[in-house]
Amino acid sequence: MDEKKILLSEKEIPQSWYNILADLPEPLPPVLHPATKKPVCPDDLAPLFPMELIKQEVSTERWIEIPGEVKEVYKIWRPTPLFRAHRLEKALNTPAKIYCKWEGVSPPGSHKPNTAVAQVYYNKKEGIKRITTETGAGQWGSALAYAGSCFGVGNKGLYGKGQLQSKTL
Amino acid sequence: MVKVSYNQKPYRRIMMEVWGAKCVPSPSPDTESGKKILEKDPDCPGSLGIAISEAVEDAVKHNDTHYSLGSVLNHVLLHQTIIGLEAKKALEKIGDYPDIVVGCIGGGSNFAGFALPFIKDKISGERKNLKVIAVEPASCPTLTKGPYRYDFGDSAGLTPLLKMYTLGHDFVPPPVHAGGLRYHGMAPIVCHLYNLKYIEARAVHQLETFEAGLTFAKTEGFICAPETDHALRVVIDEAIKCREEGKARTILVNVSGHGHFDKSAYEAYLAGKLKDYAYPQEEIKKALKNVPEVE
Repeated sequence: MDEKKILLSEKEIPQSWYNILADLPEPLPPVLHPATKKPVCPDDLAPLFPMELIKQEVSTERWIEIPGEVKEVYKIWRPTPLFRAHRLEKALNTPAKIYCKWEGVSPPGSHKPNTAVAQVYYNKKEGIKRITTETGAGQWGSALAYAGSCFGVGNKGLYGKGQLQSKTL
Repeated sequence: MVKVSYNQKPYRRIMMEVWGAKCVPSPSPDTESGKKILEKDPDCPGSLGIAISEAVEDAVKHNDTHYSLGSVLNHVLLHQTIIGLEAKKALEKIGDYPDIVVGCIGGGSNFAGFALPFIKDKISGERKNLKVIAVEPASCPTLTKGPYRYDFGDSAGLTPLLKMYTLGHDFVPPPVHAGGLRYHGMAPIVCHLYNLKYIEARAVHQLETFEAGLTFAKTEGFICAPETDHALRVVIDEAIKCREEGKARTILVNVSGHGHFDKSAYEAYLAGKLKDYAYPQEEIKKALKNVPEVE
């Protein structure tokens, strides 16, 4: 029987994220300012997001390097396994091959920390102390709280005030 | 946190508290947008759109505070591409490539993060025949029933306007719906690619998604998040089609998370308490009246 799990090593964690804006056959319709209904400029978004994320929002670079500190946190659970669902295939009596990418192995249990960790990292670099967000069933809120704790722990002696806090609405 | 979930699903809230975050049920009296909604409807169960308004308002009012969004925006999808890039690398190792890529969509981040590195090859023409399927709940049918137009990302209309398929920014999901994926809009990148026909969309009913989740749990073992069960439904449907047509296609699915904190939804399903619900077209029409005219 073929392998059940196809595992990558930590060295094989991708070095960059892929930005599809570089390859879209037609450009994405612009984001508009809610009052003027004209395309937003970076300064409009600055009260909400760190500049690095605003740049990523509009970048047309195909590959954007993953910062080292983010990769260090990714290593806690990445690469995630890819597994072949042999038993499901057998139960369905199908000739199809079914592969599952399993994102449930992260500490909060979903794919959400992939971006939470990056977002907290860029916010912290800009000196932000507190992050607000919304969460529905809680996957996102728990991922952001987790990411906050990852970078807060690095702030030795700044416990409390200096620690990144996330407030979830 | 959306109030209905705050009360019904305490475990993720407790996780947030363990990691040092403060979690507030929304609508809350802490913000102007929350207060307004509570004045109109003190028992409002809350929605993602309302919670976004409150979180954005709080961030704008505090200098040391930023806002963070867990889906929809381009940079969120960008970070999630690590999923698809890893999947592609792993398949390369065994010399395989998918014919069909499947993921569930709410705001679009797990689906896009998984599918975009493969859609790259479809756009370039290298894998013209690749089929990419986004699966959404029939009770929140953004791509399959919403129109493609500019709308706000939140209920109060504080966010910029995004061009997306939308059910209207004041959409409040039907409480019968158990399986997440409740956002009124969709990531602009996903909408754009759907509009350009690089992506197909399917709406599935909740009973058939839990049935798929149970089949998966009984064969592969993992009890997945109810959101993921939407994708598994379509994987099973496609695998059955392969059997009927005698075609050995390769299907790749993103299993976006485990369902350890969603057991009450499974309990309701096993007890026969869940019902199917298709979001009615009239409701969509009604909600769209409040969507701003741009073009």
